[in-house]
Amino acid sequence: MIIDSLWDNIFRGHQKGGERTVDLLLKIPIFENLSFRELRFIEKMVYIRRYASGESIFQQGDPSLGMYIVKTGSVKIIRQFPGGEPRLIATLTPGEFFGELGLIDDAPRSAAAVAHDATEIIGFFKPDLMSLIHRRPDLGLKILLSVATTLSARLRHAHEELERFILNPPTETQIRERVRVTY
Amino acid sequence: MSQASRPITSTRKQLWRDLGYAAVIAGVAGLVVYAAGRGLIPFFASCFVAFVLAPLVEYLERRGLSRLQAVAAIYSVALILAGAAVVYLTPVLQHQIATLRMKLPEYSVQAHDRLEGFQTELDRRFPELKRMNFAETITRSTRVFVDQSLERFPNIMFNVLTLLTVFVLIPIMSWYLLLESRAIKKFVIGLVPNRYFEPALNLLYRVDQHLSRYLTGLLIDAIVVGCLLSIGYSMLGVPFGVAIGVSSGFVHLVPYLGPIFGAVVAVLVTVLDSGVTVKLVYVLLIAGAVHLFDSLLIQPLVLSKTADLHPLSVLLILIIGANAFGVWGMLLGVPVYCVARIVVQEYLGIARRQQRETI
Repeated sequence: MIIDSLWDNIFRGHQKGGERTVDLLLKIPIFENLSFRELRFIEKMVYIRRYASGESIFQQGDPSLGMYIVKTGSVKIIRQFPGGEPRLIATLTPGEFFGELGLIDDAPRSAAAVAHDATEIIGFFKPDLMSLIHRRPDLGLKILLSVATTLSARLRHAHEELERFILNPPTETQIRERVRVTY
Repeated sequence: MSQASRPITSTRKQLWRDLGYAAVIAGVAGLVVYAAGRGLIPFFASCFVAFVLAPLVEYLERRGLSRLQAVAAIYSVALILAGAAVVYLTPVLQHQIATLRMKLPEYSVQAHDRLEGFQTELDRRFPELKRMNFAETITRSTRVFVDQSLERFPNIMFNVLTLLTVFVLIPIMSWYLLLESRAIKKFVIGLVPNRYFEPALNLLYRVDQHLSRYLTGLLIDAIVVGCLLSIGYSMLGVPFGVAIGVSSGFVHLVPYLGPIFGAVVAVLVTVLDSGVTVKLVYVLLIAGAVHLFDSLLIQPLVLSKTADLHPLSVLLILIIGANAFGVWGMLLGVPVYCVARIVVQEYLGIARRQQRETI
């Protein structure tokens, strides 16, 4: 029940099950350049939330505020295309993250995120990143640089895909097959 | 069932249930505030101190100090300054009050003589006003007021509860608020249901930013007024001109009150020092000029920049606040308006989200 997750968030005790938050953060590309001491500092800034199965984390079109990392359980990323039915884009498992663009821009969320089962997620948000840049510029810049590196890698990948598409255009059957496999 | 196809009735029910929870929480909070009454004043004062000191703590953190070291450094400096002020100001204040008590009968006689002269002139020109005896009435009222004030002054200044609050409770509470502000914020956010989590976080962040900017603006305004009055009174040769200016700057944290407070104290000191002379007119002129300069230029400019409001809106809010709730209305009008505006903006965001979910 959704109300259970409310009380779960209020009376959350010490971490039970799953990886330690700091160990999980270490696996995220955005935090991989940080020292253990710096990660402990970040650990104090993140929010840990519990969601019941089927509970919405955010809706498509909501203002972006930050990124989430799956700690336990799993999260479905669903996208509603114009004039179409909502489609499942991905199912994320512990250690995977989503919404990192929210750390940079204020654009609306491009997809919805829903807890697939009882899920625990770690949230790191733009206001805290801004505050970090203000108070600890060294640490803030390290994170910003990592976000930029991640985005740059994605851009390069998209560029390579586009290049491949232009040089070797797929047939309609291939496109249909690709869409079926993805969604 | 996907979120997008959730039935309208379910979303509405949820909204009503959430509003019910919010009403119960607001009711309990209201009851607590009502029951605690004036006891909460030190807590609010501590919040104010913590908000004002927060930018300084963050500045020191940027310089490489830990939060604890930054707060401890600020407290050490404040302790030294407070100690110096107590050592320096207590004898001065005691001397001033003693002088005032000693010279009061002499000034009272002088004032009475002047008033009697005025009454005689008045009787000659307007015989019908003779029976009202202005001079006697004014002298009696003034004597009663001054006697009562002098009797009350030490009680107000050295009341044990006041001293305990100002020198013990507020600094201790501010210390913990400064150190634990992030943990408190996380605790508060932890109480928010998941569906309002992101809007609540955004709301808290924006309110925090606005209040911090507004209080910084208020401080800048107070410093400018304090400096102007200090310079003006020093140039005029008013005794303790700098001290009067500085204390007026502190009082000016309540908008508009600084120059008025400065004028009253400067007039009293001038009367004590050189009697009733033309200098009094200049003292009042300086206070009036600073008041006008502040009301028409500094406050609208600084507050409109820091509170992101049009200067006319700031003036309007101050006027409405003053008329509706007096000094408290003037002090809290602008920040309350800013917070209310942010809350409405966030509420509209949630309403739009709910509407989207029902489509």
